[in-house]
Amino acid sequence: MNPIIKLENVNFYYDKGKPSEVWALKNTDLEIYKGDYVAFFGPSGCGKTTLLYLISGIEVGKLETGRALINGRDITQLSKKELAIFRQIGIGIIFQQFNLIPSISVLDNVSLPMAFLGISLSRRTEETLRLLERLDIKHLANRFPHELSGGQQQRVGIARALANNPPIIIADEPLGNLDSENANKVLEFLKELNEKDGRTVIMVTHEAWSLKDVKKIFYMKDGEIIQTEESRGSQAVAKSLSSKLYKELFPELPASEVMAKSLSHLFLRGYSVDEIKRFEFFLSQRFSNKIDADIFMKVLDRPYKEGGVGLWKTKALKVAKWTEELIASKKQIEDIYKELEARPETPIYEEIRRIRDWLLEEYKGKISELQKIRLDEILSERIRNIITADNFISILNLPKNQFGIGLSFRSAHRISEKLESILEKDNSELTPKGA
Amino acid sequence: MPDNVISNQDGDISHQLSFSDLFRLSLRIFKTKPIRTFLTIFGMSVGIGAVLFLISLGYGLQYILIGKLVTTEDSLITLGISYPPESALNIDRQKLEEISEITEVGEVSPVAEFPAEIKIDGSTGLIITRIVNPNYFRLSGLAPDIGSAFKEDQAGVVISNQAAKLINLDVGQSSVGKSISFKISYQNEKSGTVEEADLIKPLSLTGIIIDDLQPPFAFIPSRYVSKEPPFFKEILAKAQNIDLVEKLRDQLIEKGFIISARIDLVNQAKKVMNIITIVLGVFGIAALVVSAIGMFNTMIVSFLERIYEVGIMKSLGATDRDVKNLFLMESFLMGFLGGTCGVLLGVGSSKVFNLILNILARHFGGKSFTLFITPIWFVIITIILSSFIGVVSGFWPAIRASSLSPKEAFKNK
Amino acid sequence: MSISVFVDTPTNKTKILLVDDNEIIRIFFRDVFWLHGLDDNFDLKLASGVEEAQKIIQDPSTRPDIIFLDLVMPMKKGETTVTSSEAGFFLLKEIKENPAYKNIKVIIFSSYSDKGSMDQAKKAGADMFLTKEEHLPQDLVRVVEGLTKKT
Repeated sequence: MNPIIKLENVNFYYDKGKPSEVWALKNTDLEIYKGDYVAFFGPSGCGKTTLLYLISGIEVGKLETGRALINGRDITQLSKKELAIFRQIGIGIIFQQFNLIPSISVLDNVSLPMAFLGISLSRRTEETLRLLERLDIKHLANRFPHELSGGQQQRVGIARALANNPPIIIADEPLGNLDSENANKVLEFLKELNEKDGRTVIMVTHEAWSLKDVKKIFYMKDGEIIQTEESRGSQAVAKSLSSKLYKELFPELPASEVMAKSLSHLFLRGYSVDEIKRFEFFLSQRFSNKIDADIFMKVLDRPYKEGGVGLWKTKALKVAKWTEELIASKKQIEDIYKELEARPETPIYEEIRRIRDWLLEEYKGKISELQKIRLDEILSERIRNIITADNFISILNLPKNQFGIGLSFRSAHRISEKLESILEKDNSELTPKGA
Repeated sequence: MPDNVISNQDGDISHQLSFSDLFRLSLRIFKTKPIRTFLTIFGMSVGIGAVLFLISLGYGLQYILIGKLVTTEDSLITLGISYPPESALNIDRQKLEEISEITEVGEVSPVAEFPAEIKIDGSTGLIITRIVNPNYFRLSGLAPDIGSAFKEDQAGVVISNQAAKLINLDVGQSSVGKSISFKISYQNEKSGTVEEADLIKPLSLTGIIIDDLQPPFAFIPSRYVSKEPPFFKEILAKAQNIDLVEKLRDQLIEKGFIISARIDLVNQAKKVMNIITIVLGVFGIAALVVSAIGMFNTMIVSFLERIYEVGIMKSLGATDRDVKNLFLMESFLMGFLGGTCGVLLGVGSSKVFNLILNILARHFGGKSFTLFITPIWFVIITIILSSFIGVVSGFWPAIRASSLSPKEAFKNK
Repeated sequence: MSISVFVDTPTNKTKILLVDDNEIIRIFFRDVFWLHGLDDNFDLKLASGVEEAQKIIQDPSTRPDIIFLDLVMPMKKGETTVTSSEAGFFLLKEIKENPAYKNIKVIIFSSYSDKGSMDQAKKAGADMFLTKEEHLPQDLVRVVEGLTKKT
């Protein structure tokens, strides 16, 4: 049987000939068969995203060498028009950032790919409602994206990807912005798309625990596929994969650093690449005992701008606890992985959103979208100890035209009190409050 | 395997965003950037409304002016023939015959002007009489403001309002029918002789002309004067048709006459109107250019803000044409609305002004009139033109947007 | 435009012909077959007009089993070329009235959705009438796969 996707000797450059030239894909060969569930795994910059864009017809640049064949046809030779039609009906993409169009309803978002085919409104609506029902979000049909939680938005994204019934589904870091419950739901769903619908599913990820249902893994590093592995069913994926993964990807690194790499992604979901890198560094320093527990804790707590990791109190304590348990062999790494696999850490964005909604529960006034965004900003800053509680209150109080939230003095105080109560949940250590 | 890639001849418009979808999607401009949309449309409509207002004014004035000048068809092709005042000549019967015999002349109407005494009941006064044939009114285009001119064989008289005042007659419909008699003095300044003439019978007033610029006068039918006038002041000669007017004029000038013609006034008025129209046209174009610039700016900003959105759409399979049509529909919509609102503003303000002027006019006892006229075809042209301007100013941003690659959305990742 | 490698047709593949003057529809139709792997069981040919279609139908080695036929297409009438539904109906009648073609199923694939056109097509012998705007790729795949089950 012929592969549904085949890359032959693909070499791809960005900005070839210019000083900013990047050799994004190097001598890449791969085959994916119909009905496969594969993943491209690797750190950022390894080329997995480029590969994804290439297969999905989003990357319109020309290959230096080689061919990219879908069902026997080289899509890099397609005209612009043909490529657009290929994107319409050949590929369904699920994005990390959801990428829904904010100014149209959920219904219209999901119908959009069908509208490009010129399908009638009635047929589109019929199909969309069927898809929304399948994803359990039919009741949200007339809402707008900003009214939905992260998990709901991702489900809209999935429904949209299915609109024109593409045989290939591509998921670009689909769980990146989701909390544990929703992340698991999405994983379940991807499995359903593969096993029940028979679709070919391709996932691109840097989070090991999302690979639990995947049947084949392509490890990528620096633009090359360095290893391909068939995974057999659902084992305790996290441990076996994580340490193995990072060993495959970084064979030259000592064990402590490899462990630090794999754990950092598990602990700091949703944080930026730089924050994760810094954490990784300090974690491996701790594992190789170059710094002690005390200093490690301080570093976790210190704001990013001052050279620390900038975690908020409760999280820093949790992370420190695990680290110490690992070091003292009180816990095995398998256990940590099992815990994190069952209940993945909530990405920071979703966490802040939850906290914000909880803080505003008793607030009777109206909060505009802009105020919410601003509130999330200062919440994030407070949580990472970049601003003090007093700063927080004063910004809450500051009028809107001075970039504050414009709450009354009393409301600002109440909300701040609530926040502080959870920031200081574990009162075992009182760090001096200072900016 | 015939797989013909001929031209882009798309007989049908399927497999792309439909017109109704494009329209629905473009309505977002009122939701996402309402103030910006409103200001763009408002800017255009103020410009268009102002120009429309002025043009309606121009049109109305033109109507009134020409209306006043062209009261009868014949007056357009009639020439007023007389000798220059410095010359010592009068138009005598013989000259009248000569003029009548000119081939290009279709009809003549002599006018004799002499002083006379006007008498009614007990009042008398001294006025100027103009002894004319009834066809004079048709040829000259002069019509009484109150009542009407006297017809063929009718023993009627038309006097001016000043003359009426002289004999204590009311300047109104009530005076029509009153009996007036005249005694005319045929004065010949050159020979110094004076002859007197009476009316065969008294004349009844048929109409009053309002003219405060001239001394009191009256028009009397020559039929009812006992003696024929010795000479004429002016001859009205109607050309056979409009093409012969100039030829006739040339011939008459050669004979030493001076010619006055209604048509000259009309032509002059038309020239002035043309200049005004051109000036207004320039304003109109300026207004449209300004609107186009505003629209262009709005569309450029919209494009820059939506690079992300276009990238997403393209990665979902939107074709270049879909994206282009989307942007064009938005700018078309704004252009169309700008034009329509401009029309509403312009026509609305014209009507309001008309109303106010009419109320004032009636208050001061005058007639009601329409100063602002907006022809329908002009309204239609305006709306079509502004929609077109909308499309044109959105064209470049639309093309730019359509050429974005699907990756644009992810460039900032 | 790339042409997929084509081996001599094995006789068990159903031959399908799409007749449509719109390039995008032809690309779309062909892509549905390509992406959903229908090329294994079906041999799809594309014709951009009446004349081209006639050539393919007349030749017994390329004669299709099923024809998807657009209605509005250009047709030569003496000196001029007229684009109207006349072209589609003309071809439909021609096929249905020719006994040699009696086994060919003709499915109208048009952007018209009114009852009048549907009745007219039915009267002229069309086996099915599909409105373009009501048919998603999955619907087309279903129709095509359903057809072979019967033949």
